[in-house]
Amino acid sequence: MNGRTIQARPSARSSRVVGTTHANRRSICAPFSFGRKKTVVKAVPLPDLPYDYGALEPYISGEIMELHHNMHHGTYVKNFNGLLEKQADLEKKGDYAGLISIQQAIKFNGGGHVNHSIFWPNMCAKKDYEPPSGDLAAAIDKEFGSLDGLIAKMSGMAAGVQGSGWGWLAYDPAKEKIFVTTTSNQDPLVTQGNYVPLLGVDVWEHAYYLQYKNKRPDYLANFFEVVNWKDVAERYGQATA
Amino acid sequence: MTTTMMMMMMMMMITMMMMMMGMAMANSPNDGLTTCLYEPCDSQAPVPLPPLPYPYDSLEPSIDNQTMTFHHDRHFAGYTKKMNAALEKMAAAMDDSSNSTIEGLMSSLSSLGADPDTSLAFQNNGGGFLNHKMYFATMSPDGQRTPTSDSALEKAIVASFGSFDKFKEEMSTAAKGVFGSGWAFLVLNQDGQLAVVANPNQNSPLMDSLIPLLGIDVWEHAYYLLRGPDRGAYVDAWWDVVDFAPVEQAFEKVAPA
Repeated sequence: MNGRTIQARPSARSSRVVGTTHANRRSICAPFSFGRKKTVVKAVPLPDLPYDYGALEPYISGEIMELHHNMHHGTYVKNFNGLLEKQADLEKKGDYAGLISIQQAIKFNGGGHVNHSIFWPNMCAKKDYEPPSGDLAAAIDKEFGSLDGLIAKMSGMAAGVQGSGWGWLAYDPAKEKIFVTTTSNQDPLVTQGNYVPLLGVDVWEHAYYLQYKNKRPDYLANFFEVVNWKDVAERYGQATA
Repeated sequence: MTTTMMMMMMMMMITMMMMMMGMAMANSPNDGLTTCLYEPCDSQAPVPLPPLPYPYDSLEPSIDNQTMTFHHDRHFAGYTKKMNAALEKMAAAMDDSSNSTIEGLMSSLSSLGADPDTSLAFQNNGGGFLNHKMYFATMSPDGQRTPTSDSALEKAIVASFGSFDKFKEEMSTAAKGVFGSGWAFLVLNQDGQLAVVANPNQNSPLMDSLIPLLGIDVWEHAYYLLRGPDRGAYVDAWWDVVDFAPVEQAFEKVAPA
């Protein structure tokens, strides 16, 4: 169930910006502005899921997927768009103190958008599941001994995140190695260093609580049943190109 | 008497005066940072998980049966268990017959000399234990929804916030504004003022020398089963089950004279 993403590109004269996207029959409308005085900001769309809400059953419930995508990611996008407009406005006015005061909120909401945009394509229906192969598999075996080794390590670290955050399989271009790490809240991986996110697992309670309650390790075990290793391999390929 | 001797005597007198002042300060109503305000007040592991003082479904419709059950029997229980494990490690490492309360350990955590992993485990799980024992003790199906008129607590709230409604507004806003997991607390600071603070994860205000009197848990597990992402509705509903009676009792133990 794919929606169309419509974005109007502003012409040189017009500063009217409209961005809408249809994601599973819901739409997020970015605020539009017109008139030469208002700064042009391109609205960020809520990306569609590459599959139906129920596609990851029984590993991750359709109920969770719908709330997670529509409400949580949807709210991050909405807030982020508002903040981007505000940021542009403050910058234009030269209100740098104001500009800095909203950066935390930008990290929260923009980070939420960045992280979830990686998360959705990182997963696929079980029927489409294939274990890693090629260069990615070789790298996994080299760093973690085996796929099971990676899963054990990443699950352990993700289970240990205190409060809200993410587990990551990441690539370090400087060391030319893949590694596992975690971030807190919606901090994107880049806040830790110049790393490329390959695979993310959301361990905020909203990602699993309705189905798994407090049993985060059970959720993690089931998450790894629906990882889209082809997507991970593509990211790895781009990072190592 | 020679000048030197007079100076020496003056120095001694000044030193003695300072020592006496120091002693007086140490013996003055304690800073409250070691006072246990909510049961259980055991200081040695294994600290028991206190039972819920009311039926699991008795806070409906504000907070549902299932949430109360998981929250108390799994989350609170888990923190208690892991805190006890951390306490055992800390007792072994510390030269200890201090009999410090859990509150006292938390407020002096940075100077306990525990290794970083154990210290963090205690911060998270001891914090989870302290925060949740207060949380469940300050809710009740038939509790007092506002402080007793003319009570010390009510006067302090008015003095610090202007009115109860302003305090309620500030605490609600703080609770709703926490990003990620955390709490909003009503605290007493070392200047004898009440304040609202928001902390991430299970961080206890005691680590910042603030005495927590009341808290709203805004980790998603506190509301998600009934309300999904709607934290705002949960915070609003929480005021219908808060019980200020134990908060008043707690305040009396630590209030400035």
